[in-house]
Amino acid sequence: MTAPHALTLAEAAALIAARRLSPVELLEDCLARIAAVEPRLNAVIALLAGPARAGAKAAETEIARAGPRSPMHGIPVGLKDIIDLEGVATTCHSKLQIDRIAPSDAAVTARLRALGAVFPAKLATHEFAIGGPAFDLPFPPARNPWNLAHHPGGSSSGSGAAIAARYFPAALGTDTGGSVRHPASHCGIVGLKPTYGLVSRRGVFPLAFTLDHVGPMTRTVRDNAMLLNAIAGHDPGDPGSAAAGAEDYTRLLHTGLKGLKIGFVRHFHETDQPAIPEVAAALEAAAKLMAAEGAIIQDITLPPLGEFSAVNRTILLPEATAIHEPWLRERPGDYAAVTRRRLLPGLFTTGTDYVQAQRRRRELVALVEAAFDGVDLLLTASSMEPACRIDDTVEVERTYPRQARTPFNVTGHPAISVMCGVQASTGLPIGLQLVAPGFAEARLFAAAAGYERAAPWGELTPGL
Amino acid sequence: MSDEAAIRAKAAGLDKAWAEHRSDVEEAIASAARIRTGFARPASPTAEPTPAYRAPAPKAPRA
Repeated sequence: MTAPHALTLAEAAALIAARRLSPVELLEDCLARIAAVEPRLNAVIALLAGPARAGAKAAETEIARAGPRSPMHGIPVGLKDIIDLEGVATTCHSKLQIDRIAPSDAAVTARLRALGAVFPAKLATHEFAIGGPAFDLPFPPARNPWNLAHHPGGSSSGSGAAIAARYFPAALGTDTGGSVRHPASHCGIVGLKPTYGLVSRRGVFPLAFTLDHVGPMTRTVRDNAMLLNAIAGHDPGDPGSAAAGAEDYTRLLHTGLKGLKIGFVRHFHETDQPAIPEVAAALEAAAKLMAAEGAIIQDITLPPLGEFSAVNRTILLPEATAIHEPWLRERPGDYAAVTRRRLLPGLFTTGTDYVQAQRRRRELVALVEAAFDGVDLLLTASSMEPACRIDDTVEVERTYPRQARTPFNVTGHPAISVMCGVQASTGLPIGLQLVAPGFAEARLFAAAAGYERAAPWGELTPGL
Repeated sequence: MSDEAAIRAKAAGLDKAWAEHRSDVEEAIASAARIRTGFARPASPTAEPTPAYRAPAPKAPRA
């Protein structure tokens, strides 16, 4: 029998509903797994064993009496440490926020709590979701469970590492330039950046207001859809929240790829940011498998990656430095060096440049929208190479921007990363990205699940 | 460059960062200059930025 900590969310929820697994038993096995692996992985900023045990016990009692409130009842969920959990510090992995106790739950935390989830840990991040991996912070950087000498991607680094290492079945990350999908790709898990505004950002420390998204991180596509079911929905407390109502994102999972027309954006990884051969081959093999499953694959052209990236940075950095300006002026030495270097250009971006980028953004959105007139989904690379060594700062700086995730922070379209291969020399995962029109997450999950069922990658696990 | 950079750093309120992390500030100025050339400016003078400004929703009459 599978150990409780290694169950998927769907498996654990089914066993809990059938009274064959107690939330206490599940949590205790997760805590034992964390105790065994964490000294090597550094995915956890704060272990919350006491409150989580109380939550699991309460869930056990309630479920024994009245059955589960939801599929999340009694499920341990990790939180990236820029997401507020009432009464617990939200450190942002930074000296600058190390003592700030959250006065209340973030909207996503409150939704999960109401559904009965428990919260065993706050998880490592790049400092303020931008600066990392870094070794000059109060907490060490998370490492990649597939190869501990390598980074796990970021900025939701702890969330990606913890899920891949089977600490618990579900975690939340945030994504402003690719920060859910980056660790998902490098850790061989599933990470979704939902449509902008579908999931509330209230109570999440902002990086850039018009680009920030909260997203689910899990081991399977079904689990990801279940977690999105739990956190999606309108929130009047988030000025960017969409009016669109939430739906059941699992409802199309069985339909798979048959008949879907998928535009393959090859130029992203062939000419804009040339991928290493193993990544290019993995993408071609994935496209071929999708076609074998009934999808219709056709090439499609979008504006070049570099332009999306420049627009993203010209918007992201001034929005970020509007938040960080006082600290950059008064306490610049309290940031990690990499965070300071990444943030400072925002103070030298002019107002005119910012507005020009927002004007160009509207045009880029229209061009991607036009592409969806002819196809149901887009297929692209995620990263152009697997994760490099975590201590190789030059290679980290070179490879982090070599990715195709940023365009969909600029446009707000939903995008998911799923595993599509392994690099032979390092044993590190390779990911692909599927993208859908706004609020078409159910279709996105259907295609990702169809690929997941047909591909062999779910059978692989990190050798921790 | 250094005199100009010092003026720009001071104008941005970064006196302390200029004193303690000068190379980071100089690189930030150069980086911002590079980024601004990375995307096309809209050809139409009427192209609106994203997101468009929206006035607050109407309020219900006071009772």
